[in-house]
Amino acid sequence: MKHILPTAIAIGTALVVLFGYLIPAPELITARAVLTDWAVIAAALAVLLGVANVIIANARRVQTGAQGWFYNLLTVLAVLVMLTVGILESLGGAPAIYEQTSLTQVLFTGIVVASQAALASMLVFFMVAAAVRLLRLRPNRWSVLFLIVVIFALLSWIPLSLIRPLQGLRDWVLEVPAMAGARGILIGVALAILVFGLRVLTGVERPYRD
Amino acid sequence: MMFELTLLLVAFAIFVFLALLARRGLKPALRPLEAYNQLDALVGQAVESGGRVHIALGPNSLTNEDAATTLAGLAMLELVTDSAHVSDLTPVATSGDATTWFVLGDTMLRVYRRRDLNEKFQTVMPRLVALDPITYAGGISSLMTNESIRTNIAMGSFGSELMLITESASRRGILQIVGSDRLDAQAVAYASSRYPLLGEEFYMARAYLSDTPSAIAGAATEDILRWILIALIIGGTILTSLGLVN
Repeated sequence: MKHILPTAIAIGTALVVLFGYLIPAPELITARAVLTDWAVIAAALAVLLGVANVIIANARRVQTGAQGWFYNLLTVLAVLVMLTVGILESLGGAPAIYEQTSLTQVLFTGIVVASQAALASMLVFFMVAAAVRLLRLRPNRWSVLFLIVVIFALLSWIPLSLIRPLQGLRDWVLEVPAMAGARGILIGVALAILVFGLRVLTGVERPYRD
Repeated sequence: MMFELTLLLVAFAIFVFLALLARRGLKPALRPLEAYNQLDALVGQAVESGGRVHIALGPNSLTNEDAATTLAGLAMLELVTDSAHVSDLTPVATSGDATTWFVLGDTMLRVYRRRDLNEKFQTVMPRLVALDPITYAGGISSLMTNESIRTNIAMGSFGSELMLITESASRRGILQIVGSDRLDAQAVAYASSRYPLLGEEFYMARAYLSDTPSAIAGAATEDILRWILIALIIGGTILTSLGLVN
């Protein structure tokens, strides 16, 4: 029973949701909607527990004086400050924390969004560095081709009249060989997801088993 | 809906047939994948050097369309945790989603429970780093600095922010196996990791690492479905070019 019940619940739930999409029966659609709502509620509760995990994991590193503990302390303080500000502002009414002038939004936009933009801006430099490193570590024709395409793609986006002839070639590369390869990869991924789902549906893939 | 249902039924029939054959010992040969071939060696290097293994499951959730990718990552997490259970420094698993984080701990605890090593499991082994992909990647970068990470395994629905993780690992000489179901991250994986997992290779962990008959049957099913689709595409193109169908 210990092994059969979780498997039966998983398979039964998956079949209800699957047939709710494939067969337009009102009962199935209602059941699917109820199960989806339960999942959303469970996800919201998981977020609360996850925030507690963030605080506990970082506080433990501060307590033990582990390497980089100062950044863990900043993390804990940031979580507590945002929680406190959000709770106090929401006491005035839920929409308040979502208004652009609320302190929650100001802190989020000024610190979190700005930090994300700074991190994202470094990606192109890291990509070029990785492409060069790839040529050093795996010197084969595919690495050479990869580096050439990366540099070509970056150059072709420069808004100079001298570069304009390259832009047509860039568009062709993106629309024909790159698109063909991308579609092939995505079809492979889709088939793999289909088969993985079948393994969950038939109970052979059981992430909940002992 | 008829096409989807037909495809599902055909896939189911092929899978069941191949799974029954595989259970009788008739397993198809799988093409070698360097990432899975090297996994035990990479985990062993981390264990022997007194370091940790880090498994990053990415920002994907269990409650949306990324669920299959999350489950594939959890399968890899279970296998890697089992390989690394002898390490003095326990492996660390991170997620950028609260529902996935919830299951990380359960997956790792089950491995230690199966090995009768319940006391080795710590509640800080599974960690929720951030709820945003870029912030998650930034958090992983600092984790690799401070937690004696020797081997990094990143398998999830990463985007181009994966570059932040792999670059941070590369600078510290951390060996990596990297995979994602998204195209931009696969390009990053190819450029920055010696052992990338591209496309459907991501979902084949159990077939390659545990030799489970049903997993191998799944890999073979996917290959057969791919050939069927290729035949349909080529046949449809020819018929359309000849004007026989619209």
